[in-house]
Amino acid sequence: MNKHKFRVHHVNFFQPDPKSIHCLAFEYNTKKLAVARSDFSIEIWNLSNTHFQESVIPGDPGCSVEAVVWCKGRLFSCGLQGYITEYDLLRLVPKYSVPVTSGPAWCQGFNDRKSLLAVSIGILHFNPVQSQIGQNWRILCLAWHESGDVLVTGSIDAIRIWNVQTGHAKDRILVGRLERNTETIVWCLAVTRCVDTYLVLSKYPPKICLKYPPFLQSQLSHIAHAARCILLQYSRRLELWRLGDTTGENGEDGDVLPLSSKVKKLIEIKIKESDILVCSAISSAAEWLAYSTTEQLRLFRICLEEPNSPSLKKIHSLPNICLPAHRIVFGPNGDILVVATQEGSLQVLELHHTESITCHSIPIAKEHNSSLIHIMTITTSGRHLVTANIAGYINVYDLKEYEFLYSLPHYVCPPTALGVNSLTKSVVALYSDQRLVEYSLEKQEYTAWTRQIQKGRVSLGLPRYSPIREVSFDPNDKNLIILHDDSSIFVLDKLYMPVERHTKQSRSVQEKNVNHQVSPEVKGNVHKFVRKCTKYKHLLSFTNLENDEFVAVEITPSQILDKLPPLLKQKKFGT
Amino acid sequence: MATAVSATVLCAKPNVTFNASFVNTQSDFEYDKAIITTGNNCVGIFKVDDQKLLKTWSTKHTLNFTCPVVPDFLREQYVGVQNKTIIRCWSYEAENIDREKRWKLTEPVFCVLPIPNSEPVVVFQNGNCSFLNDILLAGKDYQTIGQLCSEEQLYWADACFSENVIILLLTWNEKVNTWVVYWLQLSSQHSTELLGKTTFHKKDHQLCTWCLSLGADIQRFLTLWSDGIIYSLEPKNDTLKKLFQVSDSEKTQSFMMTSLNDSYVAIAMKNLENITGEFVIEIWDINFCFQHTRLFVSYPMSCKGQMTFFNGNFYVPCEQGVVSVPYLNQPASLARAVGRLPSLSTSSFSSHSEMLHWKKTGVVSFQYKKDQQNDDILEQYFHSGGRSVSLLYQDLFKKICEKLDFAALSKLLKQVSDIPEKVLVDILNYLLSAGEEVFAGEEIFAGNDEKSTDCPLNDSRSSLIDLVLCYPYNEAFILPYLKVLHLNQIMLLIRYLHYLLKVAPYLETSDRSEVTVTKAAAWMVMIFTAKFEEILVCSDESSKQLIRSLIDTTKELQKSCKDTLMMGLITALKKRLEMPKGKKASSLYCIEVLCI
Repeated sequence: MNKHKFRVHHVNFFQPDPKSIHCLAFEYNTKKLAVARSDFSIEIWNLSNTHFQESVIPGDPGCSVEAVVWCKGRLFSCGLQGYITEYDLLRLVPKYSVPVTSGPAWCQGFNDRKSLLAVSIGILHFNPVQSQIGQNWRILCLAWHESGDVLVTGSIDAIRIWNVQTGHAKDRILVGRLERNTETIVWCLAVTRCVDTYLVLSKYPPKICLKYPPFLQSQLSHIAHAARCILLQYSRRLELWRLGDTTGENGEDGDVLPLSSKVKKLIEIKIKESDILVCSAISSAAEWLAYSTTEQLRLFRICLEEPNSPSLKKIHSLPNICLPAHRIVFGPNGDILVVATQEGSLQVLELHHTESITCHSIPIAKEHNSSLIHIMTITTSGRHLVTANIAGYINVYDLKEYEFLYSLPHYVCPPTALGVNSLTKSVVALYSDQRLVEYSLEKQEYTAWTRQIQKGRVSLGLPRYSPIREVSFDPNDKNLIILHDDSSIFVLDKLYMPVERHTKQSRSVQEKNVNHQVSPEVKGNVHKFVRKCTKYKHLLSFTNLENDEFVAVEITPSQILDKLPPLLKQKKFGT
Repeated sequence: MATAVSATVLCAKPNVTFNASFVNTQSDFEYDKAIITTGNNCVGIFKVDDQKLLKTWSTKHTLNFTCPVVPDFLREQYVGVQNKTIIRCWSYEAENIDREKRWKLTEPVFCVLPIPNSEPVVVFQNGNCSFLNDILLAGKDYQTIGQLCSEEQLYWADACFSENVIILLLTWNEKVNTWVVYWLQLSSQHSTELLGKTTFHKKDHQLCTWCLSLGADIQRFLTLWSDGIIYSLEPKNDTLKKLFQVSDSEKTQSFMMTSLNDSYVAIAMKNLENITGEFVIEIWDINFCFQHTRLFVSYPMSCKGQMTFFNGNFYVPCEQGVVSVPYLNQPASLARAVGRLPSLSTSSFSSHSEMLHWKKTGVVSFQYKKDQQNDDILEQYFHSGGRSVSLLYQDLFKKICEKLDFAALSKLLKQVSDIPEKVLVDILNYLLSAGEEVFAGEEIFAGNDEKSTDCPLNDSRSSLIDLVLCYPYNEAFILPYLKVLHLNQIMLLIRYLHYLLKVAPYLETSDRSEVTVTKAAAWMVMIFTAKFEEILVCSDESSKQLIRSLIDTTKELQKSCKDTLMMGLITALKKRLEMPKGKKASSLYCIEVLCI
């Protein structure tokens, strides 16, 4: 069988600034990891299955995050402004903050019973009884004894052991100095963060080390298919580029085709320094551009008729009921903008060429409103909106009647990627445990192919720890499903699915059968069914542009290293 | 006298995203301590001199403070009102105020007013006033007698203690659009007597701020209106008495007012044309109606909130938090005031007003004219000893661009030494993007030699750009701002820098505004560091030709130069212009064939 051939626009000039990790906190029960970065944003990672970044609490430049800590599923931070802040993990905003005694807070930790919270140089009882340990040294790290009676703090040149009841130091351990005039600083030691802004997770058994680049797993690039443009979302600006074009049709794998027109930057929108950019979108014909900050939604009308002077006009007539968005997506014809608000509701803005905007609200089923929508897509007909949330619900809405239609069967894991195949009119969803389902929108049931996969327990060969980020399709072949994670592209050809039924066999035997003891025909089908390309590293997006053209947005590790301050950029032997 | 004072942020502002705001600052039992209700759920005790938070309490999130927490001087405890109907009292030693005594009332409380040496007075939303103890004893059974009409909404209340407790209520009557002031007397027999009621409004002007001025035997309610005029109202009078007009009232906004004592009142105001972002506190003698002093405070004032004054400090809500401003009030002699009283008949204060200005040589007065604005702004900066600069330059630069006052821009670049990198790039951006016609006819840049015809810019523009190129900067700070410059401007700058590399002197001359090869090379390296990828991806044929020519120039320079620093820069530039090993232009963008 011939390989599938695509023409790929390889975009390598998107270079968002990586943000270093300030602190981490992991909660064993929920398997959630909080990662606070230098822009004071907090990423929430779900480590239950694949390591999936399920949400991001936008950082407020005026509210530093020096330490984060979990307590029974609740997340707290403290910072230099001297406040302990609890976050609303449903709405992804700070819920409230409590000032701590004596100024900046550097570190914090709960006792084992989760009833007391020790914060930097003072102790703040959890709810909210307060006492203070008198001392004059800046505490850089702390840890509780499991009894809850003893607190250990690390500072410069010393470790101190405190009696929590009396507030007095019981003991002091001098750590000594390697050099006479150089202080020994006792830091909170953890192996899970890197100076090069990567998040590194190690696991045993089996012994593995996983590195995740410092970029949001939500979409940072958006394609305007009809206009052949790409919108790149940086932390403080948006850039709209017109993609190049080629006359070359044929070539071998890896051939670079001659450009008939070059890539060109059309528009750049800078975000106010006080604003925090949350999401952005562009319509297919690049007539409309929208972005949302934590405070408000903004909509622009673009005119690209003059090739050398594209114009941008801000729409001031947004209805007052428009709320700031968590996710936004334009309809395929650019006539609607669907807004998943930060309040958890859904709004549809009708866009008219006269620049008048009408806002409709879609009621959300209450039981599905347990978390914010994190993925949205609209069918090519513009009729249906498919949304997914962290709680594992995938819902279908009618955009003509502005109503909720039905949900896909609920699954316990959160979906990591979602796509609608316009040829088969089906939704393809990938969950964080790499479960793949195809659901027919017409029949409102899983497709036969999905049932076959489930029954046959066919291994798709998807990576165990790296979540699938995006689903796309080949408009010329309805049987192709194209997936990608951070570094690989997987092409699934439904025609060649190996059919292998297993009865009461252990999992290991089944896997063994699939890999080794199957008939040559089936074995050959496994290779044809899933094809893998590992050419890219840190692939942010791999989306169909039109026909056989795809757009791959990649950030190479060397580009991340180039962004680091010179001291952090370390040349290692052999790298 | 006008002076810049050193103010400090006493209490940081809570995160804005969860709708917490400063409610108020109150005097604590001890001198040098302040109670700040920092939000709906938090209250803290601060030691002002040390800027230290001594104690803090927070409450359940279902219970919110609906008015400032105040001290009960009689019982040495704190009193707060939660959800309008729950009164909570606790001592300093209390650790969890949710466990402290509470009294549930049926009528919503507006606020609690602390009375020195007495117990607090509780003001209900219907205007009923009563001593705290009476209410606590009666609890739910306490019956209120409303003082206000149904159309009236209570806006503000304050109290003072002379022989009896005098309470002032300010209400707004929605029906007739007027303000109403009630003067009530609460006697020791716990009876309330209405001393007076005055209705007032001012056509075409809004009431901006107000305060109660207290004396031994005189109470005055002072109001400041949007025309800048302060009026006084006394319990026995029915009409407002005009006192004086504050300085530059048409240029100011966000007034806050507080009384210092029976003779002085302080008005904090943000001057719209004061581009430093700082605000001014004017202290006025209300007996003789003259301005006693002006204090410049280097913090952006908040748009809402109330300023308070006690224990020798002003407490002003600012954007960063509550700012404490130390002030020792020294009564001025009447003689100092002579001649400084602005005429109330002068309506156009903005065009030709008299203001006091601080110079190192002493106190002088000068005429403030609109047409001298830029120079005046520069003058203000030069003589103020360098205050907050970031906002100053951003606004100043905008004004200069609006007026196309390149003389002022030149002066700014030559004489001021701490322009932030962001503003410097903004200036560069403006100079590179403005059309040639903007610079036509400008002949203010004496001292610079006329450029040759090869120069891609005209003399005026290039002279100004030279000043920017010679201006000291920090590379780490300037690089992020250079990244956002448009490619067309970058290419124009590269063209000009290329020209400078060919014609500029190697060594620094006596004229520090002259660009040397070293400076030009340093800028070129920076530009390529910031925009190399974009230049590579987007440049057209003429740009490529320019880069090729630049490579040739650097090669020649490398041969001829002997200075180590310049040698290093030229080498860095040469390296920057070379494509990294194994890297092609197509590595940033290409269309490739992918077979899977």
